[in-house]
Amino acid sequence: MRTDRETVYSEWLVLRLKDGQKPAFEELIRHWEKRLFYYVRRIVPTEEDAWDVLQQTWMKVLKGIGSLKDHGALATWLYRIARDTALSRWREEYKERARRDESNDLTGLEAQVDDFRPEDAQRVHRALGRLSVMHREVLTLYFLDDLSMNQVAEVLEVPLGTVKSRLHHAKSALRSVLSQEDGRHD
Amino acid sequence: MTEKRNDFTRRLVESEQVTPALKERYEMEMRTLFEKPVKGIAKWGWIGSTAMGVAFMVLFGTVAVLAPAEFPLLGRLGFAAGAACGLAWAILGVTVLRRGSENLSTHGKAAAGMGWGITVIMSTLAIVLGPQLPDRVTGVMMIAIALVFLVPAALFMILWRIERSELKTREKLLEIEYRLAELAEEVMRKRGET
Repeated sequence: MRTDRETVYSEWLVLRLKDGQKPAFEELIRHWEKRLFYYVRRIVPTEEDAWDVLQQTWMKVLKGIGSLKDHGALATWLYRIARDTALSRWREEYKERARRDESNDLTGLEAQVDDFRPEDAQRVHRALGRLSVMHREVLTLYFLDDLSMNQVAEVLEVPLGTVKSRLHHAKSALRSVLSQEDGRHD
Repeated sequence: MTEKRNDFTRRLVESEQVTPALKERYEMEMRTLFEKPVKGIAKWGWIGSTAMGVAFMVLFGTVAVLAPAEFPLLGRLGFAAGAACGLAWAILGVTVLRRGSENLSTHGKAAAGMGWGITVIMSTLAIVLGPQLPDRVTGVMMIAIALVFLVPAALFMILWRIERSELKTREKLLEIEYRLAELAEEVMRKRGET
């Protein structure tokens, strides 16, 4: 979750962006580029698409920053724009992939431990690619740790309860993929 | 817990492998994010406004220099200022046309500023010269028309200044708040270490 310092920083950054300060925009990109790319890459089919979506996202941010009313909601706003931009081209495919994934998804195992060790990051990154697009998306937002559960619900445009249950199943699925990998290596 | 979580997130994000060629292409496109290509109607708009800038510069410059000796000094200065504005506008137009693109961050602001400046100079000029016209009715009409432009321009300037100073104050307060939060985090971390 975001700390006080990060919240104040976001507000300060938004104010400078609204003032049309170019260095503030460069700062915004530096601060968010990797995280947004990581998120977008998890929901679009290819890397090239992810770069395109990211570029379009920045264009929309530049044009729309004046309309951002709640200065503290920068993170939610950025993720929403990135998601909308990605889905504006792949909405149908996203739905199709979500439907297809649902039938052969690995659920059923209970998530035992809620946190993942830093050393697991590489394995988790690989395992995310084997999850359904919906589980991958909610887990990515959870792992990136920029948003509260309410904000994740806002980005995904689903009720809070759905986010919680989706996250629970996503963690179970992730555990399952990870233990399958462990079994394969043993 | 937070440190561990941050470390996990950082490592996760860094696990993403990117293709250098694709990233380079993205970065090249990002460099032009503030650039709006000038083509079609926009190009003709810039050509027209540049020509107008040159025309104003020549016209006002000529009047400022060649006006008869009894012409009021204030009026002469006003025309000279108008000629300078025309020149500045023409320079801006030529710069944009030569680049083939408009920098949204600088050129837009410059154009807006010059537009405002020209309006104020011309209106002031009309107000100064109006009372000196031999035909009083024409003079009064000239002043009235000038006021129609000058009053909204002045109002716009006042509101803009208020908004800017509010923004700057809020910005400064947030910067202080941010530095304090940074300091508080640092103190907490040091306390945790000891």
